[in-house]
Amino acid sequence: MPLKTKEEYIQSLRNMKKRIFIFGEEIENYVDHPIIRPSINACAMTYDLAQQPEYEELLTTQSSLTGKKINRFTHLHQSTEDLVKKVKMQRLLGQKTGCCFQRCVGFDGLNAVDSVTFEMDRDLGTEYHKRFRAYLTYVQENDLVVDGAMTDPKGNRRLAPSQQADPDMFVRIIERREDGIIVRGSKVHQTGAVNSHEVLVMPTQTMREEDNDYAVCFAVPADAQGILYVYGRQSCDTRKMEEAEVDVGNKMFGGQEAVIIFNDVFIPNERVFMCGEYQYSGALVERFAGYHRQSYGGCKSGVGDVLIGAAQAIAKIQGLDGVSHIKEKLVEMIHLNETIYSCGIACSAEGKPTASGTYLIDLMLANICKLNVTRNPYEISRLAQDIAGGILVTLPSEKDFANPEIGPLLKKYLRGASQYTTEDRCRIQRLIENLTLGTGAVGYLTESMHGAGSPQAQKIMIGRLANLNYKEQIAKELAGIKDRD
Amino acid sequence: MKRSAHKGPRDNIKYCGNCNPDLHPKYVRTIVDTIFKDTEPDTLVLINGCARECLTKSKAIQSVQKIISVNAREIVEKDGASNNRRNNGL
Repeated sequence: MPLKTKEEYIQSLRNMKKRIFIFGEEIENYVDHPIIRPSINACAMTYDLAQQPEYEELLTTQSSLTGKKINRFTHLHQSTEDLVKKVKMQRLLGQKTGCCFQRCVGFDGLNAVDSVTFEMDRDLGTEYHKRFRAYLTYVQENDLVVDGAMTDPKGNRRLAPSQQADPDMFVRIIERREDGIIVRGSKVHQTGAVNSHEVLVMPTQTMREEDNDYAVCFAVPADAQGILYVYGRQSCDTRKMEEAEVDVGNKMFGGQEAVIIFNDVFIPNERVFMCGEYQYSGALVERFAGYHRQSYGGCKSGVGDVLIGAAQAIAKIQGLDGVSHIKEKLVEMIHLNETIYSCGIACSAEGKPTASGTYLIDLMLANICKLNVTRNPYEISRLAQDIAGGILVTLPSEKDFANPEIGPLLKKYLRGASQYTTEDRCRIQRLIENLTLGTGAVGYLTESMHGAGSPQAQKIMIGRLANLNYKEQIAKELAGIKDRD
Repeated sequence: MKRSAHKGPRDNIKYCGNCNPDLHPKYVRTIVDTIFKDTEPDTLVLINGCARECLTKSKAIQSVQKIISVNAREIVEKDGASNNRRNNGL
């Protein structure tokens, strides 16, 4: 059976020798690095829950390629039920980790590449789909984490890739050989890249004919020669190096982003899924973005559940449970959270099959989902901070509570309701801080804003898909305006 | 090679996935394992974690002949569990 345990996953990362830089230095043991390990734990949860009967219905499914039981993160959606289960799975993982668990980008990339390569082969007589399905079978059989690499640095945003002063501002083919291609460039904001087994590179935007060297899609082992990773900083990241138990807020789990640099990396043909066919780059971007915008309805509502629970907990600890304005704020947080979840479910329920048989979400509703996600977590966070009070950002450090002279005094004066300890209060306050200001806020807030495309990207899609002409027509009919056109 | 520390499931008991559980899934499982321990192997027992009852609605289940479909809250209440046990996550 392909399913790995979380221990096997973590060991598999140890077996990969990647070149990773953090704080200006290349590190030897990334698996046990205190800043990196929480993100590995979060990704490992996708393996751990798959082994538990209470959760396996969401985390596992039967492969459409091999018939074997696989982790859902390696699955091609075969029905709207699959699409709905994906969102529920993501909500569950958000609840269990309180952060970005990183495996979704590759999952969404795999599904997008499947349908687009099918259509390329159908129209152009290429062999990309056959190669891709063989690659995906390998991913499923080995239960791998795939980093979905879309975003290029982009340089001057007003210029096309081929017009840039530096031609490497987008990943491109620099050499075509009989046995493969050589690529150069960089991908930024790469969620979970360091924790991945594979990197699936896709073009970041619709390419034109003159940009055909940039219309490239391929998969490469994450430790291939020529690949470098530079770990991204996060708010409050160095707290993880303080050996703190409480001050980190969410000690066990965290998200991760990195810059990936491809220094003339060789990709053999069997791992190349697009090589200059620029006419299909737009479809690949649109479908990947659609799936990924759907994802946010699941993962962020799960993290939202944690924040709502923390707000409820701090209200009780501080003696404010039952107060009407607190209850009203909690209800509003729930309303906003369930709104984004509803959008994730809606775009899934309205999905339909592509020509390859793989199901695609409803693009309009997926974009509505993500546009709500760019807003609602911010308001949920504001309400959580409102409920938590000012102590959220003035709380002394854990080391102060351990000091023999001032510790007892702090415990005395910072206690809330008497049935709770001061430590309970500190722990929940730090969790709220983590999610709204700290390392967790990277995933819950700014990633909600920009991940899977910034708000303007969703607005462009919504405007395109809205069928405004029909809406105008029905309004005119009701107003009794005869069409003079 | 390390194996998962989690106890293996009974093949004929299926949980919904618990993305929105009314009760802590680990606690529900302790009761389910007791109540349904003598269920015939050819009977599929569906444990829905909340009122949405996703598992019962699932298309994959429709063709199964012998099904017992329950809601986690109902079986815990019938088990007569106290409030403290009900809210105590495991």
